[in-house]
Amino acid sequence: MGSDNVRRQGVPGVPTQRPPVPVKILVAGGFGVGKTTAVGSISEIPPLTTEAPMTTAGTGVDDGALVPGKRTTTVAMDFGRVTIDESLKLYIFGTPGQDRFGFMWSDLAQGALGALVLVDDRRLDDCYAAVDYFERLGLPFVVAVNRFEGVPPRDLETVRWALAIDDAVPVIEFDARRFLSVRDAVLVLLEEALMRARARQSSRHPQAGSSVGR
Amino acid sequence: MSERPGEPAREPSASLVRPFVGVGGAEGDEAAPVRQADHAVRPFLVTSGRVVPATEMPMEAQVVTTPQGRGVRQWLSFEYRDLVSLCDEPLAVAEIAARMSMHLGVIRVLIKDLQQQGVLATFQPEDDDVDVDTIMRVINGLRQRT
Repeated sequence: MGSDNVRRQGVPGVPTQRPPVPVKILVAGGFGVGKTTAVGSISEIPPLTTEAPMTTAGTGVDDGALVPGKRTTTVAMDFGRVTIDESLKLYIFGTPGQDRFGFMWSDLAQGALGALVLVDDRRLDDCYAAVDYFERLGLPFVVAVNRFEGVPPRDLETVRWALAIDDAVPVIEFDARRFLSVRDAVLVLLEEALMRARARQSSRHPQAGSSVGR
Repeated sequence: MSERPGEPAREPSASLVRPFVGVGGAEGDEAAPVRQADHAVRPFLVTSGRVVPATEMPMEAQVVTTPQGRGVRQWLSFEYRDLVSLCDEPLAVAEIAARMSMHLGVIRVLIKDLQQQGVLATFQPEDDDVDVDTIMRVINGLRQRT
């Protein structure tokens, strides 16, 4: 059904075979937490990097004075791809390093299924801004604690408490270096996205309800 | 820009043969090939300040060369030609930008130029919300990976 709702633009003489439908998830978190590692572990291609415009909210200090308002800057994003089948591709975009004054990732978040927020449990506050952003946006997200070697694990409930996130948000641990571990973390996120989509479908079609039954 | 079935294919315009307006572009200037370094430093000068909003062309939107696009490739210059070559198989806008080492904002403008000429076709889902079926397919596809 997804592939039928594709908007095609400017195409007399378009090839009759449709390109794959793209879906997108985000991998967010502070600097050095393992976003690029996670993207690389799950991606079928080595991570690519693209430079993109990004708008930051709040104040800018470059000109020597505090200037309120938005600024557009160029940021680098690493991303990868998983081809699900010939008509469906999953893209995984790492968010750019965050401006401590706040950021607006609207272009990244637009149309995204959800976000993995990676956490280094030695530096929990690095991910506050990302958690806050996705909560405000209402985008499904999962908190994933990246286990670094030699670091004793912190209790996941302590992480949940420290980040003050809703009980409904999954808090999991994973290893960004391992494909299966990253894959499993993405599956937890996709289950959240699925619940959200089913709820949306129910509210639009009350008769259909939850009889999707797959 | 929406598809209009039945409209005859447009001839590629002469503007495709010349490079897009480069840095400094005075009237009648034969613009020099724009080097990679120029893109990094002044992306919005290169595109004459034009911007394609992300809502119009998400970074994951798929881009593919049309049959007529393949036909005119040899007459395209510089980045337009590279773009057309890259998109023989569908690629995301972000993949194109990354492989060409170009700013995502600039790539959107180039893609739109070629889309309006019928050289490229772009595809993205109508709806920001992904439907249940599609999410299930992604889940099942990932579960099968080992």
